[in-house]
Amino acid sequence: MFGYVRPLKGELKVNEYDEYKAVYCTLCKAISKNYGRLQSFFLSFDLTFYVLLSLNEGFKEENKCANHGKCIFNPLKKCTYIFEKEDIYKKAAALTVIMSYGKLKDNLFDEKGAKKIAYKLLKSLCSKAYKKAAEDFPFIDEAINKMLQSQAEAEKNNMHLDACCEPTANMLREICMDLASDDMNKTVLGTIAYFLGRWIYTMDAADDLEDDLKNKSFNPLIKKFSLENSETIPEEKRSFIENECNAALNGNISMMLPALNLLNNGRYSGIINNIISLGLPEMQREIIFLHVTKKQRKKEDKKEKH
Amino acid sequence: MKDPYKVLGVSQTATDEEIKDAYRALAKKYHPDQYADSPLAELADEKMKEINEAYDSIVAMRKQNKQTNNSYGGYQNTYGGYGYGNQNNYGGYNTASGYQDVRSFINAGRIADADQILNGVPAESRDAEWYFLKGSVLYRRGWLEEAKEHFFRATQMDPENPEYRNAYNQSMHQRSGYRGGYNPNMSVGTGCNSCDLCQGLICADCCCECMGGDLISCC
Repeated sequence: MFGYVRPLKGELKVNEYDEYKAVYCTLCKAISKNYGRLQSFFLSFDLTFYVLLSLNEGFKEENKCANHGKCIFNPLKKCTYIFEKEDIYKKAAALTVIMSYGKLKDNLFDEKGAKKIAYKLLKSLCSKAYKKAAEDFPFIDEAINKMLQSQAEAEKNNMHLDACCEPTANMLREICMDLASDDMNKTVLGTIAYFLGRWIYTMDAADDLEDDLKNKSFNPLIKKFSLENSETIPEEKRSFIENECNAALNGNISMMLPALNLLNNGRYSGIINNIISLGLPEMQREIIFLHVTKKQRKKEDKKEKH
Repeated sequence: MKDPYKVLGVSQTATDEEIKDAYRALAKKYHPDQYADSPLAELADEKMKEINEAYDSIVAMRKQNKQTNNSYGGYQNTYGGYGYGNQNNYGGYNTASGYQDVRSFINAGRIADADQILNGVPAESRDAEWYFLKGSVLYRRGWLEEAKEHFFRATQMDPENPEYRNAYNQSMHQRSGYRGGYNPNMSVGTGCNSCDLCQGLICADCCCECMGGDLISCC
């Protein structure tokens, strides 16, 4: 997806950091094993969070068997792989594949020229993996397709921010509620996922605002701040817009934290807490106030990844 | 029943003070104020009851032990006990409400029904209360931005009303970053970096030299 949902590394314990990395690498391997090596390029922090949530849910006992192996991408690097609960990793792998395929379709729709051809090629390369993933987990495929459809509708009708957040939020809620072990946890996980979905969508909109203004693409914030006639963010409005976006994001976090208190105390509670209460605010700081661009972030991530 | 010590997350050998602290921390975590208007209220209430019971039973157990040991005087129960006191209740404030049915739907959690009635009100007869109730409906659905706009509108139309003002203030407070999130104006304790450290040392050296001593001999 977008890579916004990640821990604040400096505040993780060393063992938590190792565990996070191991989950990350295991997910990477699971994607490659189930859906082909190409798909591992779509590995993301967001989906790692999904794995953490689902592993946190059912299993308190520590019976993981860690193995060291070569990294799929970098033969010089060693990774830790955990061999357990392969079905959970497979589900997350399928989710990665289906989501990135959906995003590809979306991009294909938006782009023109050479980029469009590149996306077309990539899409045809991915279609086999997508079909397999959709077959393995039809309910995920259904949820994502529903999201894409209502997203397109909301954008077509130029709806306001809340309505535009709804498809992403609902999709995440549906997918995460599936992880719950009982009804009460369903509500808790559903609430976290719903507001996380809203947070992600709003963050993406804030992150893309500058580009979308330039390219005249849809962005719900354009309507919110009445920027219909400008090609860049006007300087006199910039700090107001930044603060408003940040406030909207804070609102979502303030709804997630009470739910987080009620989440089962599990193996990864520490990391999950870190991600929501520290990692997300850090992203707000970096993207909204420090204007760290997507390119810069990708570069940073590459150092860590693979 | 669960082990009360486990519920509070303390060891059996913890002091009374530690137990009280653990209890207070948990009570803060599950405090019903955070869960007003939330579908999680029930679950939070359950947790709250659990820790209340655990704390009570530990206090009772220790009191008994102390009486049998006959070493200390009676244990003073100083905790106030947290519980549901002031859940937001729509309808309590405004007896002359034109939207009694909407308020009772919201109280009963029937958000869709409440919304339907509200949407049926023609645009020209929408008053401050309408905006407040519509905001409440939106808030419960999780549409925080729209909810805030509606609360704002309600406070503008009727600035004196404490109910509307409370709702708006709460929205703004959530957005401020004090309840989680990021606040650019909040100073973060960053400690001192290496530059600060050197500066401090040089300063200390200067001070020492003034007094005739020396901290860093080479300068």
